[in-house]
Amino acid sequence: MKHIHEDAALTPERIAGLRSGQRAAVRAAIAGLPRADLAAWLSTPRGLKVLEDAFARMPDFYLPGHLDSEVLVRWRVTRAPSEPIDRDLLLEPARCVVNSPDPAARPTVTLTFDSVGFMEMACAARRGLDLMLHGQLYVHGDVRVAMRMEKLFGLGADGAR
Amino acid sequence: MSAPHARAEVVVVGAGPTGLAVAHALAVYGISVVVLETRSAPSAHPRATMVNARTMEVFRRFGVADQVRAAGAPIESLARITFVTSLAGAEIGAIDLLPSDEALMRTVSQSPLPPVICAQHRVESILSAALASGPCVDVQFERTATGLVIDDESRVRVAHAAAGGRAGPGGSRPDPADVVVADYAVLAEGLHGTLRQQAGIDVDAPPPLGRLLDIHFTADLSQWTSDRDSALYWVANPHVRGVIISVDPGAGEWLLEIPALTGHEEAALFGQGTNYTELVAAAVGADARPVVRSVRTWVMGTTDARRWRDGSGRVFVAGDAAHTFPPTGGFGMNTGIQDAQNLGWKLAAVLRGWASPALLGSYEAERRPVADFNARQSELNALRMREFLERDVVPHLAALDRAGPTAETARRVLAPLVETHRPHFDFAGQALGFRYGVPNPVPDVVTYRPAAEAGTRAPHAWLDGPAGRTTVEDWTATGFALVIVAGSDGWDAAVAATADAVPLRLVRVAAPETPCGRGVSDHTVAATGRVPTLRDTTGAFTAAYRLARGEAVLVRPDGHVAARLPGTEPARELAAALAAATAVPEEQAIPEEPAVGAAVAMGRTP
Repeated sequence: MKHIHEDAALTPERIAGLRSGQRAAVRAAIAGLPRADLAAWLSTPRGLKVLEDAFARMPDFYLPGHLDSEVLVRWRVTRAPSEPIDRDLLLEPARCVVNSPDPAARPTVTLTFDSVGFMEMACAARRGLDLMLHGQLYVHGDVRVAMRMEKLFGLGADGAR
Repeated sequence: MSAPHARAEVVVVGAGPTGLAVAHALAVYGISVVVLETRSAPSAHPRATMVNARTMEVFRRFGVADQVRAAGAPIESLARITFVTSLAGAEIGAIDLLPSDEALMRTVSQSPLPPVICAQHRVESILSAALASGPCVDVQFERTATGLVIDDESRVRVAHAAAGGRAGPGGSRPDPADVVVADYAVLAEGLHGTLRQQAGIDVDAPPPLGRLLDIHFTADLSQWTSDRDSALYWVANPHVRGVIISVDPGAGEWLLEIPALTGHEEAALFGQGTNYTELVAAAVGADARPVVRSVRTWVMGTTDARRWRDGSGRVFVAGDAAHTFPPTGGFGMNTGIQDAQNLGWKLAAVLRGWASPALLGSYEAERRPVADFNARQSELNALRMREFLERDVVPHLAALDRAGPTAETARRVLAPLVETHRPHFDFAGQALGFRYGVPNPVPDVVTYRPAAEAGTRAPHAWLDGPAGRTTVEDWTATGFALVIVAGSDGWDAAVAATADAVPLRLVRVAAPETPCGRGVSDHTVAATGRVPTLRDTTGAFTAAYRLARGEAVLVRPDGHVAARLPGTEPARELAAALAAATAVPEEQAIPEEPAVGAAVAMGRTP
């Protein structure tokens, strides 16, 4: 019964789209969905799994060759009333490695999203700047590195791939 | 039998960005407008390229901001100004426009939209196409306005002819079909227009700083620009002192702008046999195989119309017809569009009868000081840059071209001098912080400090409500907005008392932690007079407006604050503030018996 309640606002088709890992399918799944409804679903255990999977897939989208040296970028996704998700992305010239956050590490930049904003940017439905303009993404640390994130993950003009 | 003349409430001469913006600002109110433009289409040569944040807000009101963003280059990926000996040569220094996370987060909180690099001809095409889909505005291309007179009924008659043709009230009588009769005329004809003189408006043109050569070219410069992400590349070397402007870097579209400030430079740049490809090569420092698309020369200086309204009170000048500046700062097009924003609602208010014609006098009173400031600042920027490129950099050129510690030493010496140019490029205070009705319209060029005081732009804040997310300015789309915090009493009745006189919306804002009026629909508002309470989700409203319970801020239709009202006597304060803001004598504006309990004057939510 709990799952029925959690999923009440989302149709099975939308949930399948969110879980697909395909940017176009995720975009279709969130299109027209009220932010509050999506945020509520992403704060559930099933929503958590979707967010974790999205992080796990980030190396697949990483475009090598844009960095000369490695940088550590911490991503924090808030999902009140549940706990946030933190991931450290080690971006090297040729690859991206996703880890649980290392308290001893000092990230070059930390990006803090609400869960809906993270999903929107991860599927190229919205640009990071738009999220910032709406107070849905905060940057702490190196601005130039932060500004290159979309380019590094193919979220610019080729975001639909 | 001749066709009758065209009739419009306003005739606009010139379909550049200012003229088109005037038409948009009037179309919002359903004002009928005819725009006359000599050209058949916008020039493909990029003139202005920077659309600043305030202008983007104006475009948002016109419904074209997303198109302008899509047609331009995102400023966030070009948030740097780089100084080089050439693109392929040594870097002299750089100014980061977003030097820290704090600066970035402050910048994104100041406006609903970022500045954009979008060439003027693309802006014009977007503005023009958007007007074509509306019913109020008739943009007539290839029609040259040739004459202007005020007729016996105090109407403006503008004669026009096919581009290249001649007609006018001074010569043979034009065919009535070639005349537009209007209540008002706005001359947005640019610096070289001729109708201002017919309207008795003279232009002061002090000696210019020099002449500019603009070379519009395409080339793949990515090997020198891709890691620099700069809007501008200032170049100083023995052959070229100028700037490469990013027009559309992704498409390899650039503008090389070189000022000629001395006789020697004048001869070199404008003499016979100038090789534009060689000039581009000298600025790039390599043969980038540029394709020169177009070349333009223009005078770099300040001009100023002696008055912005003719003796009849029916003819106004705006944009470059009222003022021109050097391009250093990119304020020319932006100032013109903001002139249009200021004049548009005032003309509409007078034509629709909710403001006195006396209000039109405030157009020049408010806009001239801003234009004068922008002119002075642009000249200052130009002169400082000239000194930097000619005096400060030259002694270090040889050292800069030698890699290693010698070049590093030169860069360290020049770094503080580079930073002195920040106001030239990093000007949120000038773009967003200008204020009407005060002696100094721009208190700080670089830093914008949001404040809701009379004359300031109403600070941007997101407000969440049943109709979605809006900004404060959205509530002024077709009239005034009275902004209060939840729990303030007495304003509903005061607003209701103005219902028949002035378009006015009451905007009630709750603190971030307070639930908003979810479930209160427009229908509910109309039926019950209840006003939905909007929520200050981000806290920006509370921080910028600093409204005590009971206080109110009256915001004008152009998004500027008309007055801050203490709330001691709401009905009287609001009536007086509206009277002042519409130039209506107060005795006519103050209702004898405020209609307590009457339906609240609310329009549709934006």
